[in-house]
This record gives sequence, C-alpha cells and structure tokens, in this order.
Amino acid sequence: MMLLELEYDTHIIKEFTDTLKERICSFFAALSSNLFSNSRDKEREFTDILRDYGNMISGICFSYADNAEDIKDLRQDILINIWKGLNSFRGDSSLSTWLYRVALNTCVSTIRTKKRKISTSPLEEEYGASEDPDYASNESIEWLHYQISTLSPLDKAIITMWLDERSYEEIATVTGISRNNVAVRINRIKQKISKSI
Amino acid sequence: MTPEEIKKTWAEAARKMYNPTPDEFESIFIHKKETALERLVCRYRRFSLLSLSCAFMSAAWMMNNSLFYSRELGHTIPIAMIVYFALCSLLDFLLSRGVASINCYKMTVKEVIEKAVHYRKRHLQSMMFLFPFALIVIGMMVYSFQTDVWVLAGIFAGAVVGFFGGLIQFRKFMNEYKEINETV
Repeated sequence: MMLLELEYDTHIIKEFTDTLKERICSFFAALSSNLFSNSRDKEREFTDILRDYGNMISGICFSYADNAEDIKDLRQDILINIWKGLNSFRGDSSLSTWLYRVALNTCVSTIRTKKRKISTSPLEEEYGASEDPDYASNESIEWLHYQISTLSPLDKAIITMWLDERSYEEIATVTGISRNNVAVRINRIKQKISKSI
Repeated sequence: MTPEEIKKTWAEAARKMYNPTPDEFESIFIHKKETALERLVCRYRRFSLLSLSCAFMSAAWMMNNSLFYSRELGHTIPIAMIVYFALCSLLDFLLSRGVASINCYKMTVKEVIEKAVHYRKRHLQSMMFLFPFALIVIGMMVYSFQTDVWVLAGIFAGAVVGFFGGLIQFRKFMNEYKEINETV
C-alpha cells in the first residue's frame, strides 16, 4: 500500500516537473520570437524613416555644420538618437514633428569646434560640386549656407523648418515659441538675408 | 533673392544632399556608438570620480604623512586639498546630472538651448572659483616649503603640469558648448 502511494506521489511530481519544463520552454520561445520580431520591426521602421526623411535630416545638418565632416558627425548623432528613441515614440505628435524635434535638439545640444585642420573637407562634398556643371546653383547654396550660419541656433531651427515648408504651428510646437513669435522671427531673418545681397 | 528663390536654392541643396547609407547603420547597430552629449556626460562623471579619489588620497596622505604639516599653517594644506577635490567632484557630478537631464525627445528646441547655456555658465563659474582656489593651495605649499628647494621644484613642476593639463581639459569642455548663442 505504502509502495503504491509512493509510486503515485512520484508520478505526480514527474507530471508537475514535465508541465513546468514545457511551460518554461514555451515562455522563452515566445519571448525570443517576440524580441526578434520586435527588433526586425524596429529596423524596418528605422530604414523607412531614413528613406522618407533622410534628406530632411541632411538639410538640418547642413544648417548647423561648417564642413562635410561635421555634417557626417551630426547625422550620426541624430540617427543614434532616432534609433534609441523609436520605442518611446507614442504617436502624440506626427512622425515628422518628432523627427524635427530630435534632429534639431541633437544639433543645438552638440556643439562642434571650428576645427583648424588644413585638410577639413569642404561642404561641397555633401552636394557634389566638383562634378556639377551648374556652378551658379552651387554658389547660391554656399551663399545660403553662409547666411544660415550667421544665425543663432534657435533662428537656424526656425529657418530650416520654414525652408522645408512646415507650417508656423508646427515650427512653434517644435521650437517652443509662440506662433506670432515664429512669424516675427521669420520676417526678421528674411529681411536680414535680403539686406545682405 | 526673393523668398521663393531662397526656397528653391534650399530645395536644390536638399536634393543634392546624400542620403544616409546602410554603412552608417553598422556604427549604430553593431558598434553602439554614443552621441557627443553622452560622451560629455561620461566625461563629467569620470572627472567627478577622479576628483573624489584624489580627495580620499589626500585624506589618507594627511593621516599617514606629516609632509604637509607645517608649524605656521598646521594641517591647513591637506585640509584645503581635501576640500578642493571634494568640491571639484561635487561640481562635476552636478554638471553631469544637469547635462544628462537634457531630453532630446520631449523638450522643445528653446528649452534645450536654455539648458545648454545654463550649464555652460555653471561650468565657467565653477572654473572661475576653483582656479583661484587651486592657486591659493599652491601658494600655501610654496610658503610652507620656501626653505626646501627640492620640494619647491616638485611643487612647481606639478603646478605647471596641472595647469597645462587643466587648460587642455577646460578647452575640450568649452568646445562642446562653444557656439551656443546666449540670446535665445
């Protein structure tokens, strides 16, 4: 009788451990497939962002950098911040507004030195001046870049978004100033640029 | 140039600008690079720990060694060194916390600029206080050991090395904030 009871107890314990093993294995399998698919989704989303907004990011770097090397550094920092922040983006604002905020904040919080290296790569590398027959257009780009470089970091943010044809409301949301203030600043910047011609 | 022409020029520049390439992904996914802001925070933390360890070493040296004890000043010099390094550690720690609080995802551009300017000012103010403090400590050492040529030479060599090392580090720190305009 006692032997029968002991066998019964062993059987129960064995059943319990088998069930536990099965549940643990299925938990980790689900976890790893979930993580892997989340990671793949995130990479896909990141790639889509770069395809759709890559020019916008490069344009922002163009406003804040002095040379091609700085553009690459800034772009790298912006991409790192976008990658790290993707999970925390909850859709409270549109994706473009969020990207502008991250990119501009990365630029204004990261100050680059004016490097005195002789071999600093010129800005032309970023927009391919050497092979471009349209020299007059590149002169205009250089001139525009110079005008933007004389502005304060906040004005650079405002003018960059205005040049990308963003609404005054969106510019106000991202920069943190009122819509009227945005309009006044844009007017002032346009007058400054016009005077310098 | 009219506003339309300016926008056209901008659109032309944006069109010509290269898109980020897949090679750039490697540094994010594989090498897990940090941004310049994160490197600045790490640098502040590193210096905070370094200063704290110097404060402890000064305290240990004071207890085990009577080198910096002098009849005129007593234990003033080692105490001043402990206070100096402890202050340096505290200021670097506060600056690291402040810079780390800059949130690129939630703050507006104006807020980020104001924070960055604020912490730049705090850094400059702390340097303006700590640098004369260091000179006073060195002055006290020179006064205590004015008869001992070898100790004076050691103090002078250490002061020169410390001065130039500090100046290089100071310039590196300031380069991080260099182009922030103080008028927002």
